[in-house]
Amino acid sequence: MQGNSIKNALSKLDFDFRTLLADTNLVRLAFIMTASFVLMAALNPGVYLTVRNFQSMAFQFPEIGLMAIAVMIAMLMGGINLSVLGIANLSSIVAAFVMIAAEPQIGGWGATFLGIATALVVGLVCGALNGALIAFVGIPAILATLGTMEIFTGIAVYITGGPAVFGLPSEFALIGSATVLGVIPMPLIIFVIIVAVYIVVLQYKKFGLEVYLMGTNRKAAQFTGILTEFTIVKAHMLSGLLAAFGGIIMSSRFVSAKSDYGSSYTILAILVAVLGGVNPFGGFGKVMGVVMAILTIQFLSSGFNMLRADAYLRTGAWGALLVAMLLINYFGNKRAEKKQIEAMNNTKITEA
Amino acid sequence: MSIGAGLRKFTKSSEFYVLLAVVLLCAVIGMRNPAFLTVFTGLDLLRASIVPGIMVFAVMLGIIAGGIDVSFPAIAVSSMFLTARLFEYLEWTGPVAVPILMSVAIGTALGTVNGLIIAFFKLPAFIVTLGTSHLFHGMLVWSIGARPVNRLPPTMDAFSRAEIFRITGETHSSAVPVTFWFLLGTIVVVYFILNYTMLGRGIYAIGGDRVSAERAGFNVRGITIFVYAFIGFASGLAGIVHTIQSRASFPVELIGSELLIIAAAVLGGTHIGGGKGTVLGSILGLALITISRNSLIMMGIPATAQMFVVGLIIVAGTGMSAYQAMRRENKLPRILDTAGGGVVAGK
Repeated sequence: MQGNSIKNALSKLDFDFRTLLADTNLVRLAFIMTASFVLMAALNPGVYLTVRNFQSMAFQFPEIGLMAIAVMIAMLMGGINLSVLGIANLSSIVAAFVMIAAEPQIGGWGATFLGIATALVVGLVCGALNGALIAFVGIPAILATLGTMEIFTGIAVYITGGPAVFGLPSEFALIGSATVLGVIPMPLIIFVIIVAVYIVVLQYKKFGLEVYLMGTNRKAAQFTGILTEFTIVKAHMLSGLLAAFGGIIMSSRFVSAKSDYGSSYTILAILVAVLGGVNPFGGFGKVMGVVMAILTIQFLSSGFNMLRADAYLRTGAWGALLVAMLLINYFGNKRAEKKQIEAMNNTKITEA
Repeated sequence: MSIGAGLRKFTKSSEFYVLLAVVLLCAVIGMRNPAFLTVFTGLDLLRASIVPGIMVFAVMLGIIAGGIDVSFPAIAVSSMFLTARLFEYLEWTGPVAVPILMSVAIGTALGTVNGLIIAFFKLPAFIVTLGTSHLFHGMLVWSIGARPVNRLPPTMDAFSRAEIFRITGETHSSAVPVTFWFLLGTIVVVYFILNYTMLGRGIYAIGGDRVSAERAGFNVRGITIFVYAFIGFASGLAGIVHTIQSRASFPVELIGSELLIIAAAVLGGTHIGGGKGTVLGSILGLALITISRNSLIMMGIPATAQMFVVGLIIVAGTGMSAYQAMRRENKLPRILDTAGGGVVAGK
């Protein structure tokens, strides 16, 4: 009886602690996101609060948002994925070749679906390779994915010879340019659907729990019977799949595929993930946090565009934002920890 | 230890595998193209390795201490560009040492900022330096403008042409520039710190196990700040050497080389988790990366396939030593198993 009640109290406490930490991070992020939106809207009142601006923002952020979630999955396990952009470009290039070859036989729509399927398969295969190198060969994630980034991009450069691949079906271009009901951009809809699926997989399914547990304590995860090697491979396949989705949207927006599209995306995707509260040591991070982080970056980016801000100023601002966020989280978590310890002391007294 | 035993020990080290890879790569390139195996190629490669080399050894120090710094190219380009612009504005005709010291001072200051943030808030170096690299580079170039410096002050220009020695053949002529001393100096300093000072012991100790190092009485905070300040110092040096070598200064150079430089250190056996790494290993890693970056074209590999091959070399090189380490770990007796893998993984 006694033991049970203590256990109950502890499990309740643990739950409170976790939601408290996660929530304060998300609340902080929501605040920063709103602040940056209000700031930019106030600086560019005439142009910022227009349907046109919202539309153009919704066309731009999904691809990099998806890549940031791809980085996040690797980070949850205490690793990283530097090859997301390589996967995105390679999968869209292979898809482009397939679509160009298939269009005369099976028509534009058929070629588009075949192309999407091809890109996703390439993404899965690339992710599986990353996972295998990390799990079965034992290469640290940062090096394995650095190497595969060069390999994937290298293959992309080799098969295209350098220049962009043009001549994609016009149906494929709709993914990155069409609007639904006349206002909602297609990339945004794709983004929302994928985010919803990944939230379920990562936060409400057994597999997601395994990924988080591995990032918290790999040894413990192993002893609970989780096949850690296969979890790593599967998680990297999910990461690769997201990168491929990002690649599809990107190449559809450009109506072409190229080995060096989005050259600053790798660093930006990591930045967005960390800004979103993902712990690079593993175990912590929420998809919603990353979504808010990418929105923050997009709000600021569009605002800077309208102000005709210098590209270097923008780079500097991203850096400042990341460092500031690290410090805010540091002090915030410290306060939460203190509260938690106080709460624990209080419970002990009442239990006694 | 007898020479035989030492040799046997060497054949089991990760340095040996890298040496093997370097020799193999040279042999293959040499067979495909005998022109590779000449003293001229050697000197050209030596010249090409000066700037990345200075950075490799600094970064290695960071990785041994348990942190991956990715801000060094940003620090290098920021310090060199700011210095070049300043001395262009001053129409400097004085000694070349002043701009060099200036760049090194800027680099050290920026590195110290990294060190302070990492040491006091116990934040992951990789993420902090990812942020500061954008912050430093973006803000500095924004505040002074991106207009490149095309003409260096005359003394710097003269320094860029100074050579230690030159070998002239019938068709080729190659030289080792004076800036090579900077690389050599960095190697000697890093070697000395790591092997002959308490500071060096501390760097290995905090990379191996931070808490134990603290309990053993090492000043973890001070050592951490030193390491990142030193990386800044070396980056400032590498930056100004790059400017001197290219006889111009652009605000976008060097950026993007960070991962390859880290790969060079790690290929040389520097443990990415910290606590392990040697100067000799990093020299070999640097050689492997420099050769594969610069000489694949001599082997007849088309330019478009080079990135792919470099990636393969990185994966194969790191894979080989990682796989060895994993097998060694599995072979160890399991007496320490309850204490977790940390004990084993460190060595």
